[in-house]
Amino acid sequence: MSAVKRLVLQWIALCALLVSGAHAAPQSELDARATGAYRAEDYAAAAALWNDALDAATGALDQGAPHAGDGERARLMANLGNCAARQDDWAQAAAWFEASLRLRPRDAETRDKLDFARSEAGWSPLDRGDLASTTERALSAFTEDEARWLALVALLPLVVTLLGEALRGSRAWRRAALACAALWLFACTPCIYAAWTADSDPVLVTNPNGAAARPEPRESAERLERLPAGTHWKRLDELPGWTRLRGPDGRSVWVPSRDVFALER
Amino acid sequence: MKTTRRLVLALCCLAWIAGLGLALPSAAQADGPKVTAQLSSGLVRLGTGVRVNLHAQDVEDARVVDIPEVPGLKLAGISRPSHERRESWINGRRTVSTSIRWVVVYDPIEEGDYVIPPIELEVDGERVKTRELSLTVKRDLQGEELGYMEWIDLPDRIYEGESFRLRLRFGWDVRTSVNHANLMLPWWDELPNAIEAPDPADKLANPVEVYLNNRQRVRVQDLGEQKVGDKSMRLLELDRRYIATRSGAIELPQSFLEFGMVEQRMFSERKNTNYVGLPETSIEVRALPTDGQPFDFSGGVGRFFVGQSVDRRSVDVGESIKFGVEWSGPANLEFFTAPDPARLEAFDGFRVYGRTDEFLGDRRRVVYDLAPVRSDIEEIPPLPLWVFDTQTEQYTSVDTEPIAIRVRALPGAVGLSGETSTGPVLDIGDVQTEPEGPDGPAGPSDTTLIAVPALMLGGWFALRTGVRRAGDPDAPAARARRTALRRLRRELNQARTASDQSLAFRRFLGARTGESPEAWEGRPMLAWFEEHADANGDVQKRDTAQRAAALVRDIDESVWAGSNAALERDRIEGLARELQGCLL
Repeated sequence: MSAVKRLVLQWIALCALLVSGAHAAPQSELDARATGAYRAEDYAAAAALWNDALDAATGALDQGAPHAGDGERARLMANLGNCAARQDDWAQAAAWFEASLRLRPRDAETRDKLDFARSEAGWSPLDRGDLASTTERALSAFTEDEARWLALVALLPLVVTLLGEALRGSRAWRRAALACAALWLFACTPCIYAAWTADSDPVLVTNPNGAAARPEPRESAERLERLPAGTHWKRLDELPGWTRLRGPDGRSVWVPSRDVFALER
Repeated sequence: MKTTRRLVLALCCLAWIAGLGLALPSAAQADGPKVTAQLSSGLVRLGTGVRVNLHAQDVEDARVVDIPEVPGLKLAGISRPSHERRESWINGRRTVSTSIRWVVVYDPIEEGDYVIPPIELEVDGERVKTRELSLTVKRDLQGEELGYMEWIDLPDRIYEGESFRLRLRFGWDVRTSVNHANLMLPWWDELPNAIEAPDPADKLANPVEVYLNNRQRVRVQDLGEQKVGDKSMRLLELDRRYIATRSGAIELPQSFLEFGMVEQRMFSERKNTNYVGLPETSIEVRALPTDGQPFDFSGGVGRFFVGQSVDRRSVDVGESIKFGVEWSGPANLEFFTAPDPARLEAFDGFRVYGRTDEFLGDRRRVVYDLAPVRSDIEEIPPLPLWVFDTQTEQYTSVDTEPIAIRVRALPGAVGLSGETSTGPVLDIGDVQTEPEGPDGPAGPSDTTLIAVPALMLGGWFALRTGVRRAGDPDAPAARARRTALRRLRRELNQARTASDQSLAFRRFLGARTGESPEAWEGRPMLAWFEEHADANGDVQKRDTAQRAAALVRDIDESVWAGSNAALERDRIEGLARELQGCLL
């Protein structure tokens, strides 16, 4: 390799280092400043800074791998929930904690915070303790990546038992292979659930008085009904200031965007 | 994602077939349009017209598509649709419903039993069919004086949301021979403005079955022989509970009881039956008054009684108390919304962790999980339930009795200076200041998730087919061949004489070659081994064959010419392993 080529490569590497450093610095700096503001009980400033940090993390995410940085974004969202809670906006806090849990579903501290925030907001717990809630919680305990790995890794015992069945063919191997197939299908359920809910794009009604559902995105349109606070709906579309939802009975309705919180961020 | 969805669908089916699906919540029955068809009477005299009242509820638009022709019944006409719009409050929700009615009239031409096929309607763009209707046409309806039929405590007026019973008592003179009883109730399963409610009355003490509308059977209570007027009657009673769903009228068309003797013949039946009937009637359903309706109205309508209990009365701060409340009485117990203590100011001193809610047929039981947050709490305050009392015709609050409790401060708990509360203070946790580490590896792609199982299955199938071409690996001979060396080792451990060793070695050779052990009795070993060794003469194989022949010769010598003393076990076992490796 000639000296000129080596020089050019070193220059490109140096530029890449500087550019990546320039990206990394603002986010960590914003985070540090937000923590300082939070400690100084300036919760509005802390929220603004963490919001900026979240935007930066999300921006980096758009350029990188689809799920890179989910944990960090979940942390920033949980901190934003704390800021809302300290400003006595428990509905907003619950929404941030729930958004955070979607990215980091097994984080016990955030779940406790969510339960507390929902209780303070006067909403029923997200996990009602019945079979449906427990099942939903168990199925959503994995991120999509984890669920995919689980589905793949659970194939290993099946491979072994199928090999045994092919080479030995005894009833015991057949039963073991069937059991492993059942186990694999069971292990696939989180992946199935993740795929099924991948495009649900839920929003949470955060206005304590509920969200007025209208057939068209204008204040003068007739109010069809009021979506209760703390309930989840599927987002279909957005216009400035208005969000279109799949409302009760499957009808699409428009609600003011300020009354709902998009959990997919 | 589309591929994933397809995979997902396939996996879902498999998962459910394998019985692995977790019990998911049962989907609530959708409140869709309801279409009913009701005959004005299930039994008419020849020459009397019969009406079919068609009623489509909760619809935007509907039309009758097809009215079936019935031989023996002349279609006299159909009325214009009559639209009706109602607004009501049920369970705290405003309900606006539109219903459309038609009346179809048939004129019977001949005596007989008729089935009017389903009538097809188009309701909000969808085709819907009514049920089949049974109609009996008789020239004369006789025997009324021999039978008995009466409504028991049929209410004239009720409120929407109120539960009511339809008790139909019927029977016949005990001197009448009866082996057949058939209730002709055109309103059965076709009551507009009402739904049937589950009822413990299903558990009848003395049940008997009678025919219903010529098609099905229904269980009724046998009341035995009783005096009605001056006659002794065998009485039965049908009892069902309903809940009025909207204001208007609940119409009960003419009901009949057919009773008497029916003789079954090979290809026909001979009936000698009598009829007794009730005229058509209706129940007025009034809307709940909106004046004075409290904001916390639960939707409960009727007469309510309440009882309460706790599982403990002495607790620490933060400890759970199961506060059970039971509502009972003639009311719509399964439909009202139970109060939420978390929203009541009186329960500020408690944290509500959840509740279980169940309907037990004759009562509704809700158990609240409460935890006192302060030690100065002395009672569980009354829990109000706002209902509409149909007796006083007023909204009223049904309250539980206060329950005295003792709440102890947690041992060692110290209040913060300047704070009066001695109980635990619940608050949100701190922010997380440490950045999160890098995320785990990205999950496998859709292609991987589909391709790996597919390849695995393909590979398994190919391997399985290949292996089975050489024979069934699970056949007894194949299994014996695989386990021959292990079995030889076990038998050599137990062998005490050269004869035992000879037998064990022959068994080994037999299992490995697929022959019986006796085939190796007296076989010229060296010749056989040399024959089956490589023709070109692999030195090692030839050597192994020679040593095997020598071993057999030594064993035979010991058995037949010596003291039958056992040979060295390791020599036999080592040679067997070598034979398995290169010759057998």
